[in-house]
Amino acid sequence: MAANLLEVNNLKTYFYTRGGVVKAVDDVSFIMKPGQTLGVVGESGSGKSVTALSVMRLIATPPGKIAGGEILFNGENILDKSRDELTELRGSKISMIFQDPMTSLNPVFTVGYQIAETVKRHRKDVSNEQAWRRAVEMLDLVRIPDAKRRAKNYPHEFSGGMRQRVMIAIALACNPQLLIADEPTTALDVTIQAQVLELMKGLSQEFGTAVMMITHDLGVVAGTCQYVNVMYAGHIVESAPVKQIFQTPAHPYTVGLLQSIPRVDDARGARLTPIAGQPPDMVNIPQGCPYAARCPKVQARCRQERPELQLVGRGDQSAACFYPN
Amino acid sequence: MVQQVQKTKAIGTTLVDVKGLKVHFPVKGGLLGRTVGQVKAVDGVDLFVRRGETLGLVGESGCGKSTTGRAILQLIKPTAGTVKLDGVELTTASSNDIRRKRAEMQMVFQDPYSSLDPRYTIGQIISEPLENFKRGNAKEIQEEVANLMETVGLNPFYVNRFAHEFSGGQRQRIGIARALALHPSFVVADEPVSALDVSIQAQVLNLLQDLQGKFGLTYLFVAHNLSVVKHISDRVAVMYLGRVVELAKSESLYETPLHPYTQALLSAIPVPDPEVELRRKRIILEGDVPSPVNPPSGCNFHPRCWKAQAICREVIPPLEEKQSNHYAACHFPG
Repeated sequence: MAANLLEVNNLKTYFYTRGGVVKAVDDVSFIMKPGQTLGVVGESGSGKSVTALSVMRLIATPPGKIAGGEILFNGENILDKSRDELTELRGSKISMIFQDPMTSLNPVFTVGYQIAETVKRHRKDVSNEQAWRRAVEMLDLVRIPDAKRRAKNYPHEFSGGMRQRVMIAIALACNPQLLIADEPTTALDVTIQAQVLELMKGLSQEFGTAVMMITHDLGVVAGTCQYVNVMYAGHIVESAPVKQIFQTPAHPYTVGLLQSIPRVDDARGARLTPIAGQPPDMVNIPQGCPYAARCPKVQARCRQERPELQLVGRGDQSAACFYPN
Repeated sequence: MVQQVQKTKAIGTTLVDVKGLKVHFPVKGGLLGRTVGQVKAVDGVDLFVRRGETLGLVGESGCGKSTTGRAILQLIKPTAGTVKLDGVELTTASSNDIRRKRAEMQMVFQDPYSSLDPRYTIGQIISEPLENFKRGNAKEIQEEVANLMETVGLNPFYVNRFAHEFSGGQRQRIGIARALALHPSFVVADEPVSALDVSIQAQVLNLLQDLQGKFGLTYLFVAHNLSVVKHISDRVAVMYLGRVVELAKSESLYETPLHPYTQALLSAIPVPDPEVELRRKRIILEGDVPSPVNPPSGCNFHPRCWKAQAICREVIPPLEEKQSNHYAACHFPG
């Protein structure tokens, strides 16, 4: 069906290291509708960033390789695209912003030049002057004060929060259909984070851009996303509309995650319930459910068979668990 | 003899008393490397920590919270001000005296990856302070190390392994065992859980709370995560640009913040509940934190404050008790 903007089917992204094969993303499937905001949460090493990089075809090969599956963007498989076609796609239809705004901008060009460059790369009919005007317009849009003058500044003349806005300006300059944001506010302070999230929310609504928000912060997900995928050890363990994830979490890992975070609106002193143990060694993931070793509800079956992601009988909510809540 | 665990002293008496603490770092510039300015990292901090309590110190990056923690432990020489530990003045003490005092004040660092020597075994890391302070013979120290490892939830069987063989959470436990080896009364924990994944964070936070109950520890808990600070602290001090702007009991700070900066900070924290997120009103601050090289005049929050009046640009508001046990540095609090 063409109604899906992005359809990922049985994606497998593996890294071939000296220690063995790391199955960073193993059999992951999900869809995104146009204009939807999807949150991808999980701890470090759960495969959330690798999923995003796979969609952008930015996996370094070697050691990484997309070992299987398909990624359909507007019905076309990204994995079949040539290098030139990919360059055409990146930055115009799909854009990405990264965690670290300090290193993702080029220090030797002005920010205006870097935005204009993106515009000219994808619109052959645009003149230098028009591209520059668009750059100033974009800076204004991401609420950088005095945009006309600031466009002539270099990245080091901007603060962290401002640089992330510049990144957003570059990413949105060509009106992409999909914006992938990989921990866009993790490096920023809370007050600046609030500014940037508010901005992203406003702009994605204004332009109807679909956003894949990758984060480890459940608070950010609650405030910005409509739909959530929870990842653990390379798998999606739960997938549901945002309200259900927080109100009726089905997978024991989601439950554990929610119980282990202190909340600012909680009474003080309540003891946290941590998840016992550690995430599994990604080279040597035990057979069965990857969460079995830490799960309070584990049964014999969980250690032998891997549960598939399936509906739990509450509308759109699905979990990869034999004994969901 | 290995020292016995200290008995919990009466809660409430002041253990750490900080007055007018300043730490300025010189900015060198020009051909001759002359001092051309000063980074006023900490610019007049007053606070006190009571025995057996946890004081949370929060603020955004660059506000001087870590520097304050380090200056209290004399790991950085303060430019001005006084720091008293158990009534003893540290800023004027000789380095020998401070060295002796180190047994009573310890630190847990943020990064469990870089704060442990990769060439040392866990046993060597934890026993180093015991050996430095000659707490017993080899056998006694060995026993004490095993004890400490058990106390922080590590299997003493791993005593001969190296730091890289452990996960982040386990390494943080090693760092905590090392800090506790000399049975300190005061521990500065500088962002002890911010490098850890959420499911592991809770394990370490619980451990810190257990240890406090067991050994009667006093914590200065430095962190940027307000949810974590609220969870663990009895009282909380909020810093902005080198100064404490608000200091109060945890509950009253989070329920009725008096300083506009605290109000904005609290409203900016994302809450993991979509219903709450929908209803909340956010105070979005304009602009960025100004540079501590050239902080604004008067109240240094005034360029971003929606309540600012003429007086705010001229007069530095002192940290005053506005409500019972609730201190704020603002001309127009509430």
